[in-house]
Amino acid sequence: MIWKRYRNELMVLFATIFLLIGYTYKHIQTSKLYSVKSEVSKSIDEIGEIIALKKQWDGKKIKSKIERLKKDIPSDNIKSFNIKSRKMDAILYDLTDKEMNRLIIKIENLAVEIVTIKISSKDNKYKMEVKCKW
Amino acid sequence: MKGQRDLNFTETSKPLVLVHKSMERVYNKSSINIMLSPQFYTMKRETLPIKHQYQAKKLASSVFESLLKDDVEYQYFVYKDRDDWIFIAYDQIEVSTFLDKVGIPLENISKLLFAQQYLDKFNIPLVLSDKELLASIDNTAVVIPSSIIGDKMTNRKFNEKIQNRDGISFGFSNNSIFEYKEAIIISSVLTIFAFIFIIEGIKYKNTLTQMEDEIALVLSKYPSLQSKYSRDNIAKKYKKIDIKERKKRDILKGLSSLLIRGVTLSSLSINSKNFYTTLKTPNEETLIRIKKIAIKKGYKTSRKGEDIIKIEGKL
Repeated sequence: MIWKRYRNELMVLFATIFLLIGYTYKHIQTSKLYSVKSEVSKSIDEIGEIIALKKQWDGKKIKSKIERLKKDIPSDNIKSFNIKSRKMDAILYDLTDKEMNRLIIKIENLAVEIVTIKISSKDNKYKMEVKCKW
Repeated sequence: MKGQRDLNFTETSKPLVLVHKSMERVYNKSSINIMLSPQFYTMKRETLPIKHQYQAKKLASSVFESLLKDDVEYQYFVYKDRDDWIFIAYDQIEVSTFLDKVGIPLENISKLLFAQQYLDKFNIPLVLSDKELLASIDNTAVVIPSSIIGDKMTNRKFNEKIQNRDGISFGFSNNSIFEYKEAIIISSVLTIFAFIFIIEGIKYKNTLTQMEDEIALVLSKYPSLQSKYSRDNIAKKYKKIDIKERKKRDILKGLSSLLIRGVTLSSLSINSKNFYTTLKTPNEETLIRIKKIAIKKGYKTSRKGEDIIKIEGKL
């Protein structure tokens, strides 16, 4: 019967415990929310970045862009130009400096991995070897 | 409960025990209400032009001035009876000591009532002992000697259901830090806050679930990115390519910026590890200028003959 003697105190104690439980519950949920919020925003940024990178470096239109590049080069300047399973291998010759510049700029603007570019000049004409992959 | 002369009329929920000086020991373990006989209190009826009970209670000590013992700390109970205010003063220590003596633990007492509040029940005098009766005389509950009643009708057993009027919290709150009302108010406020916190918590939880659903929806569009591990791997792969390829392009741009007026490219090679270029310059001055620019860009330079400069570096 001791509890009866302290009924008022017990009442306040239980209410206080209930309050603490409520506060703890809210605090846990708030912390969870903030942590998930930051995680979600981080994941979304990450996903966005990955999608952008993937779109840039894993583009499906690169092959057609390279084929267009080939068309732009006069056939007289092409010694070889092979496109095979996401790889390009070309040897071009007798290019003027302007043609060579234009070609380099075009290659720079393509989202391909430049494996190698070799340029050599002879009598103001340029020979160019390009290897790319994507 | 034992003892024939102890009143025990059942109220709405708890038994009510009349406490008087000639009562026998009570054997009770449950919660009870008690009614004090006039032997334990002093009563005064006053007609006062006041409306509220709290105002009347403030006046209680002055109403009893010179009527009570000076060395006792009295408790007061006030209620309105028609146009009059009834003031009751009682000594809590005296009551507690007596209750203890007759076997009523304080913690078992819920409410304290006064015989004065139930005058109609004592219109027929109630026998308290062989010598005493509790009667209502001139609107006052009094304990009178049995001898003055003579052969008039008396009540030996009062066992009637009654509704309790307002009483006082007593017993369990005697040694409490909080009054019963205070405890109720504090507990209610704390409980309300607890509910507010819980409701807020539930809101946050719902937002959390909503957020998780949204991210799941986004990820469902890109199944390969669902796991953090695969995301990290993919990001690593493409970031590596991105950094390296941007560097190659920067180098190509940097080298082309060296082709100032009169300078021609003799050779150039770039691969995934390093690069070099040889430039033919028209004069010494241009060569030195190119050399300075190249060094500024962090490239290595070396002369190859009189007008040729080789520039190289690593990726």
